[in-house]
Amino acid sequence: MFRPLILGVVFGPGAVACGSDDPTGSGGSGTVQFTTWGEEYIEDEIPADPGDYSGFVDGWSVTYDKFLVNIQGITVADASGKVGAAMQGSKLFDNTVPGVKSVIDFPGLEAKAWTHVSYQIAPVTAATELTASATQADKDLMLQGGYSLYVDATATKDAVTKHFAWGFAIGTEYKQCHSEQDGRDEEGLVVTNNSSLEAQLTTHGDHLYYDRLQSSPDPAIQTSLRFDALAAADANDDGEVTLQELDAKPLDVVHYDPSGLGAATHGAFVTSLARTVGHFRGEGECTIASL
Amino acid sequence: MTLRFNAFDPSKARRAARLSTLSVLAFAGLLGTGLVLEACSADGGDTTSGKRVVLHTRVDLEPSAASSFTTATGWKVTLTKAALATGPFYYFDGPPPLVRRDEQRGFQYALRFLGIAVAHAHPGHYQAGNAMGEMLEPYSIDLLAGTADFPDGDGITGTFRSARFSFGTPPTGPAAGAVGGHAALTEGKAEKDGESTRYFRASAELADIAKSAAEGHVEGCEFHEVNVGADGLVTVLVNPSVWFNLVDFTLVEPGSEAAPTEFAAGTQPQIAFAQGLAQLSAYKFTYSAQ
Repeated sequence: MFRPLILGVVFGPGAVACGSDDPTGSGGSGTVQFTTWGEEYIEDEIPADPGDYSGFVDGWSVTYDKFLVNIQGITVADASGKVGAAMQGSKLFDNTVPGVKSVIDFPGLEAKAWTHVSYQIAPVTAATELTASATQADKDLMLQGGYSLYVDATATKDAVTKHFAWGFAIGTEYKQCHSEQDGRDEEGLVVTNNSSLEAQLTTHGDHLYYDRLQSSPDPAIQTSLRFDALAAADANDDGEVTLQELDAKPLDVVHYDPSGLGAATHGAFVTSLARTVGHFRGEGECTIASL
Repeated sequence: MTLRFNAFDPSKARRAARLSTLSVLAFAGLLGTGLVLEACSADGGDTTSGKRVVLHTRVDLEPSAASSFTTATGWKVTLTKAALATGPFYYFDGPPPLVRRDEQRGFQYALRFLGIAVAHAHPGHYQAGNAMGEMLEPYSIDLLAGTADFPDGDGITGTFRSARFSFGTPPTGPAAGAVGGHAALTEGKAEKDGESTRYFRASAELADIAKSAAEGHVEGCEFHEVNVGADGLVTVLVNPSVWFNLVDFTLVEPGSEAAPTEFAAGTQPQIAFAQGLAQLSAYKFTYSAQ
């Protein structure tokens, strides 16, 4: 049953590369508004699983106090690689602050299909622009650690609480972003004449707790959210789970699977997952590359 | 007109569907590029499709694991058997997903001290790109018995960057007896200061490996980037240390050389071993012109 999707994915780009005209070109121009949002998982809570795998299967819940993300390098290009718009500099957001936040507007984009949309989550620099959701102290913390992503959160299970503050000094590029629109997969976005289109760079706060780095080929094996092993990494039992403690804890292979990608510790596993928080227009995906 | 796309749906079904997409896309790339190779081969020209080349195939043991190796948990492992039942190998022009992590902390310092390279990968879409070559014959090898020349494969000229290593059962070829009907069978001993020596036998079936690698296909292995322009030799270096990296030998009964302890199904050692077999860093491909 995969065949129609497979053929579409494989031969679609090939057809474009052969130089066919853009069939969606409609003349005129429109505006694309790039935004970011942390969903309810980041704004409110990731709950314990109520039985439908929508929360932690081992009974934990997680509440974020900070979810700092530094966004840069948004680029909108067409199939030929012609760049229609590009963001200069970077902007720091705290996606625990409720609501959808504007990143940048690109007015006057030619009305047509812009199939190559990319962005980066990269370490903060001195030139990083603060937005209303983040503070100077946030920026200073990110700058000092060389972080692109920083989370400060509390996990709770029954009477036990674990606090954690993890900064990730990694850079990730999200390329060839695509999303489902009107029931079909859309590469990038389509600008129509006189329209204003929101393209949301959604951050998924639950990804840090997945138990696999890629989904199992066996449909009977679910990808789940877990925290037991992360809580158990609190070696000195001071209630604070540090990345250093996670780095010192060999991966619990009974409950976690690095899916061929080689994470030997829970620290390496969480860091790998940190590259997956960036998404496109809700549930849309991008190709991930390290910077 | 403003369109909003706040498509958040916390249900597992929604998230599960998105995760599945990751695998489907990678799978799609592989199937699709296989077709590209076929089309190019039929063409036989030397335009962007490339020229057909013969690719001899050799499989060998990673030299650093030849005598013994140390796992992430500090066990020194010496193997006496490392037999594999293999399926086809495919070569692609897309880059592998492996990345090297810069920071070294805690446990990773220990790994460095032990001389273990620490390479990490990131999840995401492995895009195989175009298929550049293949060796299609199922075969088998006992890595401890020395280098094995596998059946010839073929390909087209161009840049090779990644590969698929695959397991295949039932075993065929010269080591079919040694692998004993499994996808992989190893024997050896593990030693650590303060611990009894563990004599073990670890095996995995194709279904065990397929929990991590679809159908036993280990996708996205590193093919040392090369511009293939002529007939040549593809060498696959297999590193068994990766298979045992996360095995907790404290959970294995000591056994003896004559009666090694089997890794029991469903236990940490057997799960870690099967996951290790699916690690793409265990298989490295290189090309040399001949």
